[in-house]
Amino acid sequence: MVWESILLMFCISLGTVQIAASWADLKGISFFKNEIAGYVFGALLVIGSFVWFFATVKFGQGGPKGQHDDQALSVVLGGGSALLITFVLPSLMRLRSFRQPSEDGLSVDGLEALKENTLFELIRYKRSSHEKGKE
Amino acid sequence: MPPDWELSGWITDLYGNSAFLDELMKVLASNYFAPKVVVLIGLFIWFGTRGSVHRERNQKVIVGVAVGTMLGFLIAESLCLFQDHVGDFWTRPYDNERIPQAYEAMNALYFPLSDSSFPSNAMCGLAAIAAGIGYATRRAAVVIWVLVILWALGRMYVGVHYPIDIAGGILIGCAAAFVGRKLALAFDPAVTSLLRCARRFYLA
Repeated sequence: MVWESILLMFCISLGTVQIAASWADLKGISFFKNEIAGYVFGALLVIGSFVWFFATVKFGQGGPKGQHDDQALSVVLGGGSALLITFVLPSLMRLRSFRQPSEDGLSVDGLEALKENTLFELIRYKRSSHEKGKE
Repeated sequence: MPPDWELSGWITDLYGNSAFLDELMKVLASNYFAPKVVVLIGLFIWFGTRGSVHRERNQKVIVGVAVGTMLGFLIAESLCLFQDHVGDFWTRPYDNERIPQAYEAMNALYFPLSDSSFPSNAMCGLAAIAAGIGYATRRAAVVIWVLVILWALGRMYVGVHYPIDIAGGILIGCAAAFVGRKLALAFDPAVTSLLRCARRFYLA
């Protein structure tokens, strides 16, 4: 049961962050170039996951409880792995077409830097500028 | 026996009249719907707020909400522990022999709980989040308050809480949210440092 709960948390977190990425124009963590596709993918993932979960899991005596420990585990594992995928997948998708990070993205930090650049692009740029600084 | 047990009996009496309503209440009462949706709203506000200044302000509110929610749970759990020592203020509806249908509803749609009925821990947590999020965005707060009401209805329907348990939980949650907000403001430099650290990893 815990695994279903973790999977539910994973899918709905992934979907929500994709919607948020489209909304806030964070291209570096978006799976899609087209923001409408991000909304549609996110909404389908969230709604579909809830429908799957409540259609397949049997509640009542002996059924899942979803109390504090279960909730915490599903948020940490499911939500955490969804965030990991969110950051890594767009980086891998743009790995082949690796380019210098955009100047706009380098003057800001945090999520704002992910508007134009992926995580790997930013890490690679930071590493190379650090090495240049050493020289 | 709580003073409002008859109201609770009236709500639980609806069980078994409509398969659709039973299924709906099963989802609404479940710990897998309202709490998860609330986490998603928090996640959306964290990542989806447009503009760095506005985003930082909302993220600070979310840190305050987290503090308030933990505080609310702490108070509710302390009250439950207190009742473990002195005896429960009252039994849960499904253990109340004057509401026999509550046991049937719980048995079919929920599960027996081991802690005390008053206050509702679940309501305490969700109300703390709803009240706290209101400092960031009213629209999200309204959605969460609607979820609080639906979850409360669901939990009364499945026979695990009386309305007074719900009201107690909501009051504690609101007070905890207020204190959480004040703490976050009082420790603003620490919260700012926390967010700066998260920004280094592109998480804020």
